[in-house]
Amino acid sequence: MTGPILSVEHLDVTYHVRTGSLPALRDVNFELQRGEILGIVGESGCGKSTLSSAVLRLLPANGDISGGRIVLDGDDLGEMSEAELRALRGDRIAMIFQDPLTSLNPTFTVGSQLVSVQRAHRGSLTSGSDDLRERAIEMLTSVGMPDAHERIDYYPHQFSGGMRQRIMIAMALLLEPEVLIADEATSALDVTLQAQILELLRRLRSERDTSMLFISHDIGVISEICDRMVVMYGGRAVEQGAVRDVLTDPKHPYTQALLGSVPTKERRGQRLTTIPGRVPSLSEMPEGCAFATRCSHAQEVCRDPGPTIVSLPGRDVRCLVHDPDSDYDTTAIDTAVDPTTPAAETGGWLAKRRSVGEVLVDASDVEVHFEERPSLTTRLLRRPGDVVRAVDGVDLNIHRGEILGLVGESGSGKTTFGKALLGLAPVTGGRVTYDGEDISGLDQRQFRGMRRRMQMIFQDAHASLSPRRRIGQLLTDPYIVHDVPHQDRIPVPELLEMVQLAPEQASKYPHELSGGQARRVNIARALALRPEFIVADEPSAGLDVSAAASVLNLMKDLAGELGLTYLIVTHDLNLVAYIADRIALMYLGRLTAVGPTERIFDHPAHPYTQGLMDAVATPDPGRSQTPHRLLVPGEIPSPKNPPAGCRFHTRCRFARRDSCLEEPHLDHVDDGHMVACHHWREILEDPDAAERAASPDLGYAAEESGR
Amino acid sequence: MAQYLLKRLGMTVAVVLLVTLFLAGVVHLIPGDPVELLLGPRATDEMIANAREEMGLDDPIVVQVASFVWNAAQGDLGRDFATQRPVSMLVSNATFHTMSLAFLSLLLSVGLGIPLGVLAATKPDSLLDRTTSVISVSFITMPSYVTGLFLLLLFPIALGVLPATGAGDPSEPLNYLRHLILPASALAITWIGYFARLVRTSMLEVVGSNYIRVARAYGLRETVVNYRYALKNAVIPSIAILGVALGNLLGGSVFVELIFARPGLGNLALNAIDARNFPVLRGSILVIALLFVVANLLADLSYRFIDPRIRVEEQQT
Amino acid sequence: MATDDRPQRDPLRALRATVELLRDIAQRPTGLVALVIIAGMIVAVTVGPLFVADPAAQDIPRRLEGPSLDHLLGTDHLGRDLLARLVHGARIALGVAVPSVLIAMVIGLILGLTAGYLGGRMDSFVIVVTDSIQAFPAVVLGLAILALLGPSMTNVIIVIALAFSPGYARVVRASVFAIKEDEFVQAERSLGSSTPRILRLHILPNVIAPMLILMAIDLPVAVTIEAGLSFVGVGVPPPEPSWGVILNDGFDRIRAAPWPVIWAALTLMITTLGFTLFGEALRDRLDPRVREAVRGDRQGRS
Repeated sequence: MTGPILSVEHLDVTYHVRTGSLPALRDVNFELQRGEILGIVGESGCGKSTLSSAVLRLLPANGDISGGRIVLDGDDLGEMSEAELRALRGDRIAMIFQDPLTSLNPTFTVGSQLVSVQRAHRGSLTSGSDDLRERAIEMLTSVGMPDAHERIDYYPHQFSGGMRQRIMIAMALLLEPEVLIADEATSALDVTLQAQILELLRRLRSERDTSMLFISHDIGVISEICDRMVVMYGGRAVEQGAVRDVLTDPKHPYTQALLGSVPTKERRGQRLTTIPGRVPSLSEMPEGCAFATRCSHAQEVCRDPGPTIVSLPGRDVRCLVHDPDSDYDTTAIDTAVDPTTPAAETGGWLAKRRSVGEVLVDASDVEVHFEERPSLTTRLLRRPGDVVRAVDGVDLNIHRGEILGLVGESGSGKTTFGKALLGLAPVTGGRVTYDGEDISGLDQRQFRGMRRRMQMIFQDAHASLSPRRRIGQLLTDPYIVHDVPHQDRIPVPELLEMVQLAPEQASKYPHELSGGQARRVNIARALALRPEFIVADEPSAGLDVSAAASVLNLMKDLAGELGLTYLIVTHDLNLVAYIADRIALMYLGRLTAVGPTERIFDHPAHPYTQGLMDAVATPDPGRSQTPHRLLVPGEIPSPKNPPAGCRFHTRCRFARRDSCLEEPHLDHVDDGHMVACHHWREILEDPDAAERAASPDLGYAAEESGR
Repeated sequence: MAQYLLKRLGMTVAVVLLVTLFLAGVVHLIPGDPVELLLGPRATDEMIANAREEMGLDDPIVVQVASFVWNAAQGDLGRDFATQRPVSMLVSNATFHTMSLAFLSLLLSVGLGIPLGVLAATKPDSLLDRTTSVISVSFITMPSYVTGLFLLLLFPIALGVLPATGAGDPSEPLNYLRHLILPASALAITWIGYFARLVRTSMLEVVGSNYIRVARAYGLRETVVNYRYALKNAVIPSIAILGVALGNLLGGSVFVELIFARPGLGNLALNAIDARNFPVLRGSILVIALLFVVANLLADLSYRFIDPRIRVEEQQT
Repeated sequence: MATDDRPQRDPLRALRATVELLRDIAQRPTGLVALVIIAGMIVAVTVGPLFVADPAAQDIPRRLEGPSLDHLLGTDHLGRDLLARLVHGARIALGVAVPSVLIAMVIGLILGLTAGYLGGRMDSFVIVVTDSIQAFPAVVLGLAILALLGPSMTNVIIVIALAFSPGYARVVRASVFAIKEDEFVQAERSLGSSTPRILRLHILPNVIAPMLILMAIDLPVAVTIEAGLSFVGVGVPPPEPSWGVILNDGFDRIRAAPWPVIWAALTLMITTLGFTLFGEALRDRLDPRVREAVRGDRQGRS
């Protein structure tokens, strides 16, 4: 019972397409030890998903394993027949997929699917269907589903996304597999849910000693849960080692750049590392080092076939820099561009940000209530339709020249609030003033004049560009709409240059651009009218780490050069910690806390703030692997029917019947830090109170019961 | 579900009412003298008097419409201009023949179309798939009367098998079926092609879906994956269009009944047009519309019953 | 760098795009078949009548003849040349189908755009009306109206347009609803664009593709409805050489002389096949989902 449970030996996977063969994986080599969690990290297109399919021998019809071996506890998967493989899948190796919403069959109950999986392997000889059902209920209960004996007969869509992922985990564990593969298992979930699922996986590992292959694009998540990690690039494993070692001392230039491009609190005031160019597509994958085309250390020898794996103590690296036998000239390394030490911000960016001016946007008690379109029957019966209280009484000032980060889970109303400030969502209560002028009562036509001063960068970069217009047209539209005379317009090439795009892009259509380029066009469009105030909704969403980093760098540069005021709406606490001067946290239509970034992070006074900070996955070797203690349990309730009193009380470990049923107001803590919680004094005075308040299994008690 | 049912029934009643209103008032909706519209320029005085009396054309329009709707609701569709027989009697005889025709052809369409589609989807882009796809597209484009005429020429006329005209004797099932087989096939051809294609497409879509990947990754047997998991999801779109299919079959029955001289609703309507016998025309058209609306309702409900996603969505709203 | 920020206008762009479209369609065998059939139709409609006999010239002694050198496809019950009647019939087929589909499209576009963009009461109204029209199978609706209006080409056009318009209204309404939710419409609003400008520049162009596809698919259906209605005697009245009229004339004497029915039925079959294949090729080419799939395939997979 020693030796690795799973070993992947020099694995090659090739896809056959009409134009030829595409190398999807090349010489991938790693071992998964018993009871270990091994992380596989890489950006989209690096071959992670191909790897997980290959391990189950479930490659698409046009893909095959063209070299190497996969060995599970001494059994070579390559020598197995289709029947043997089928017997192995789900029984010895089980997989948790990325998208919990589509991974379960919509037309069968959860119970029948869990029974089918058991029946496929155990047959009906050994146990009757009652036993199989009991086993399914037992597993569902152990992954944290309350009332499993009843809800086992629900259909998948009756569960929330988080609960469906728990069901997938239950399915994976049903037959006690030797290896569990989690393929982007938490990527589709909100931060607090992600933390819950990671915690669950961690608990299962310690209880059952399951070995796990954890695949993710998010290096933060990998560093939270894994013991060792493999960094993939262009179908090759470029570096592997213990997580802590890789994080503190990355050896491969790609790993270095990847780590340097993650925005974190520690990097405030530094530029993020960006990697020039894009990941080469499979058809143009270079013969030599896959990263050579984008590597700042690349030399001529890097383009030769190879490089092979270099074994350093506790580390495997596929880079000639570390290979003493190669022709690589280590003396030529330009230390100035070493990505491990990111360049300090040029032009005193942080200093400029300090000179914050008067109040530009003043939202007082803003409400955005949508009435759900009442159905014919409700109208006939004269019942009121449901009211969605997306934003329900928010007081917030934004000062001229500042970057304010608005953070919350999905469903918190943060995007709606941002749109309400710009007149894109109806303000149904309260008041918004912009530069002293009340704008909440303006209709669309009256608002048009204001539009030149305030703009929005939408979340989905491609979807927010009209698909049948060229980039050039899209960039001149703002001027036509506002009848801007020619001499006042910024020419298209200049606008493109501002966002670091080539002038040739003007003749392209939106779908011809990459995600990062489309985002830049959005930014250029927002800037065309020279606005003062910009609302940016999830500016890094949908982008690879490096592309996101360069967009953030650009936004910061423009803020400094043009004196812009930003409201950055995001779920990503790391992002605001890196970029924002002040942070506001929103939960179910209300603010829970506002304050300067440092104050919020150093003295979180709201239980929700604490929970979010605890949940966020950061690639920080110092804090990794510590179990989550302040986990926010359950899921965010529906804004149609928010809890009475403090809206957070259903998920709060400080909740008390006597006080929390009363609505808390924003209290001034100190130095601009405001908190809406009855218990903030206790929390600040006794930092360990939260931990003591935490009961170990609270995590599942408050789980929202179905949908 | 109850609320949805209520809503859907309300919709159906509204549409039926509107359709009835339309048929009651259609003579007045079209410009021109109603009597001339009804009877043409060569009508005798007796016919005109008869029509005025029967249709109550001298009453105010509101009264005419209201009394037609009221009578229709009680099953009285007026009287035949020529023979004074109640239209409801004529129509109910014909309805049986048309419904048996429509249902047999629906059965053929589903019974042949769905297996054909599944067959094509098992090996996409194979020779079998390509052949099936050529067959289905040519079937889809065949108008029912073209098929009907070819079938008539081929079987009764050239080969002398199967009856060419009439509906046969309903009390002798085999004889009735022999008369039904050609007209039903003529109608079904289009929809065999249609269902084959629809099932192939949705089957391929489902097979590529995530939960099928998951089922494979958990070692479920291929037969379970393909026929239990995939097929159930793949036939849902077909069920959704069953109502539309039946309506289309009812429309096509007009042609097919003419070709095979079947005493159904379509032929009844055509004869009524020839004889300028408006009450009969109106009655038969009303029944066809009602059949269609009810068929749509049933298809909609069964679709909602099979797809649990929709079932629950409706429960909540 | 020139300060002209408008992308270069290419006067031939539309033409070139059409040529490219047709070339793409011709790439697949079914598309090629479709184009050949449609080209044949176009020839028949434009110059065809120049090459055939007078479709109305009767020759009673030579009635109901089979194919011969004088009459390539034979003659009908009045001794009229069948080939001539079929070729002239193409004009009637398209002369009904094209205008009725166009009218249906215009009605549907107006109804769908207003219903989709305004929503609320207007939307409910449009839904009830379209539902009621669609409660009749198209042919049956045609019978009800034509029985009163009397048979004529114009009336057939009116009936088909009426029966088809709900389909367009629904497609347009659905696309408008979908597009209205798209972020780029919000983005245009945040820029300050007015509603008419958004409709014209950003919504309309995205509705056109589904409309074109629906029109291409509806065209052969309109041809069969016209011929069907004429076949049962309520459509285009004789002696016009509508294909349906030829079928009707032939059907009365089908046992004695099957030729008229066979030729007219074959013509209808081939025509609808051609147009349907074309519609489908067009859909595959214009439907962004299909195009996405092709593009995805080209990029390889990961």
